[in-house]
Amino acid sequence: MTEVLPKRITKEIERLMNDPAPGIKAVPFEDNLRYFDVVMAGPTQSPFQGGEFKLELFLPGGYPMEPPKVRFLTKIYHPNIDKLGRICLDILKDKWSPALQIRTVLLSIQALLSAPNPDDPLDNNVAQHWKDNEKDAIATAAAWTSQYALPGK
Amino acid sequence: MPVTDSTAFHNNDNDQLDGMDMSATGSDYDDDFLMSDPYDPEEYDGVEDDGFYDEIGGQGLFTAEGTKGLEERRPLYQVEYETHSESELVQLQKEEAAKVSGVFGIPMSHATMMLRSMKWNKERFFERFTENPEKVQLEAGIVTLEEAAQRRVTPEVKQYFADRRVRAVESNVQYPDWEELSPEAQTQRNLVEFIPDALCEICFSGDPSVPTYALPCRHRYCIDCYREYLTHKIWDEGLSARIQCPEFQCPIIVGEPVVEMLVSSADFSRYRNLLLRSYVSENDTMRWCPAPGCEYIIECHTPQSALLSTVPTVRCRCGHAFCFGCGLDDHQPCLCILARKWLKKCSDESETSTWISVNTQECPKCQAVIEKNGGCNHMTCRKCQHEFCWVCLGPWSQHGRAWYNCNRYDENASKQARSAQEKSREALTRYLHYQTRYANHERSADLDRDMYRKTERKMELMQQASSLSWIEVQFLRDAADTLIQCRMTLKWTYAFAFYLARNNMTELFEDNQRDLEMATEQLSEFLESPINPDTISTLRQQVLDKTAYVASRRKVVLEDTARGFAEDRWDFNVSLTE
Amino acid sequence: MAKIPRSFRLLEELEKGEKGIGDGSCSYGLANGEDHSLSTWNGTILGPPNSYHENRIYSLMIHCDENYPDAPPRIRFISRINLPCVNPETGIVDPRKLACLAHWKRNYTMETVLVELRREMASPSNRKLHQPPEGSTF
Repeated sequence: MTEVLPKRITKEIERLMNDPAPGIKAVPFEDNLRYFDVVMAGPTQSPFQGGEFKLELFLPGGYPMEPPKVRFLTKIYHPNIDKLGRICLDILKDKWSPALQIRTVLLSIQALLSAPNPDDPLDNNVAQHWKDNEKDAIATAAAWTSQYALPGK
Repeated sequence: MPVTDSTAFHNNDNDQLDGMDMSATGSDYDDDFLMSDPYDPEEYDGVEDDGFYDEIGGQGLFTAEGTKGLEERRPLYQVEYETHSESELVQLQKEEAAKVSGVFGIPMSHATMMLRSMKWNKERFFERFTENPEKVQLEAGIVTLEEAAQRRVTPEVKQYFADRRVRAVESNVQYPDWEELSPEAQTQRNLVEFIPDALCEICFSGDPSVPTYALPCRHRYCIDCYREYLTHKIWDEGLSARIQCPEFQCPIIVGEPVVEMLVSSADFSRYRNLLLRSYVSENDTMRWCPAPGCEYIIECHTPQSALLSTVPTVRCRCGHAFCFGCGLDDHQPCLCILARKWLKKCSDESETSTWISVNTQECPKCQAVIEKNGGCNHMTCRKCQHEFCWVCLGPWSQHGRAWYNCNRYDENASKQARSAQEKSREALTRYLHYQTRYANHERSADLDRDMYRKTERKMELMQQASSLSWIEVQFLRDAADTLIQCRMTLKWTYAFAFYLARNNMTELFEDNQRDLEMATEQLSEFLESPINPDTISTLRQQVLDKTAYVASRRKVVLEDTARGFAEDRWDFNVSLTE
Repeated sequence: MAKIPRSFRLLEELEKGEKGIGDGSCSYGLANGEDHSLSTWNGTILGPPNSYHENRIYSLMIHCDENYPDAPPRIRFISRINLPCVNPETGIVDPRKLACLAHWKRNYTMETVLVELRREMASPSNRKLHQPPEGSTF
């Protein structure tokens, strides 16, 4: 029962393979071409620098009218990412546009790592930490990065 | 209202049941009201008609004719409101657009689209339009209309739409027929173009056989994708007035004519429906009647900020009475915030409160509720681990080994614990006092409804067996409606009283409450009276009189509470915030 | 047909469970809110009215392994209960004796299972079954 993949998705996969975004690798699983294994490098100048974060991404049947579903698999200390790896990002919800792509979504997530937004939190404790003592919160995030996100782990 | 009406109340109150004394003097009436009514009864003239009798087809003394010609003043407890049907609302939108169109000398369709993009807020529209008309027109999709008007549809595009209609079943893409379209939507097709080498950013297909469309922002997509996008927004996201260009963060609105020319007629009628819904939901002065299946809309200009001193109660054309402020069923005279607090309290305390008061104590340290389920008096609180004596509530450490017999009752520690406990017990008793009465009226209203249904059947049978006319047996319906309405009011007076801090005004409130309650119970008894054709005319008069009296007592309660808010004489024992 | 992977399917179920399902007579949630693997879930069923189970609250453990939702979850009652499909020693629900588990389909959810278990409790042949004392556990 393999589906005929819409042209849009095939083209996106092609582009991801031939011209990957810097620091982002997204490979579809062979048995489900709508389901992607993603590895994202922690952005420089952020507490996630040096880390390699694993994510999973899925293109639902309504894609591209509906946004993709994305989740962090690697533990990460970030005010907009909860303990289950769920991400609070407007383009994954009401700000989604069918003109966006897998590539733009992953770049936005990478940008979110560089610029956490504690005013729109998914994890209240982490967000409070960020607001009360940003320096300390960043230190915790860096510690988590070296504990959970070191390459080869 | 005419004085003769009031004499009816008066006679009735004295149980003079042999008909009405039309010559009863106005002074009797004054005395009667003055006992509980703090103001000049003159002020009461003309406030009797709250629309209730008109709507339920009141009879005899209470027909609309009975009050005609009198200078009427709206009672304090009533707010002004209007009921609209959906088609009336469409008309209302047209009128508003016409005004704007006249002021600025712009076409109606432009005015409609711009007002819609401003959520029908005329002030905001005036402000923004005077400031930057180009931007407002661009965002609302007006520019699209103007651009389209300067062009002509190509034969190829016309052919494409026609072909797609023929192949609609197999392609599952149904575009509306040219002839079905409004002139604006027909004009929009002028902007549909075949562009060789264009790559649609949604499907990535670059198929030159599919035409494309772009708003003035020039974000161009093939019309099949456009259509799918709009259908998704309409059905899956329930959007209408706020559908933007598919491009990420592009603020240009896809206007009604564009939607019309691209989606199927079924999708378009859903879109129109959503437009109306959003008109109501985005408008603070409009609210759908919450009664199941009712499609009327109430317009009321009482602002949310007035809810701390008004209970804006409205009655929809369907008969449902509800609060415009919060949408709950009629909860006069209780403020919205107090009604919410009360309902929450009732659900929190629920039925267990009585049981708790009998079988449990609170831990003297953390106030956790503890049930004693064994014989030993040495209690350990599961929550805070505090050890205490069940009998005296003093700390167990002071009991030594005398666990079997508490003889420390007069110890200071125990006294303090007792008094803390008594306080909380007292609060519960107080709550139960009001809750019992609240719940009782709720239950009684149900019983009254049952009783009325049974009586109604009896009346129908009687009507068939006697010479009575339909109108003559209707009085019971009015009585039952009034009765149930009064029970609802009474119910909420208890919730209101629960939050009322005692001052010299509360007594007055309670007097009025008691008078209404007594009258209500009397009317309730009448409904249970046996009915037979010989006595029915007497009963009818009695019930009519009592109904009128009860309704007047209800108004006294409501008017007094409303006046209390106006004069700021109510104090509450809770803060009026969530 | 887009085939939703295990994790996103379970996240969907989690969200639905957090919002509350149906009339509230069944509910479920992650046993550990930080469990990235989304494997172990707690379920509760409110005993159906007009049965021996009325007003009782039953707790269950639901385990969704790597093959979920291609394969059914494993269910075990924590609260003691006497039902033909439940092992009287261990509380484990016998997948052969509950129709939705025996004939599992990919679009079935944990909710499907809880609702069917509740229906079992209310069935004419089961609703009068004598039950162990309330509050006892396996």
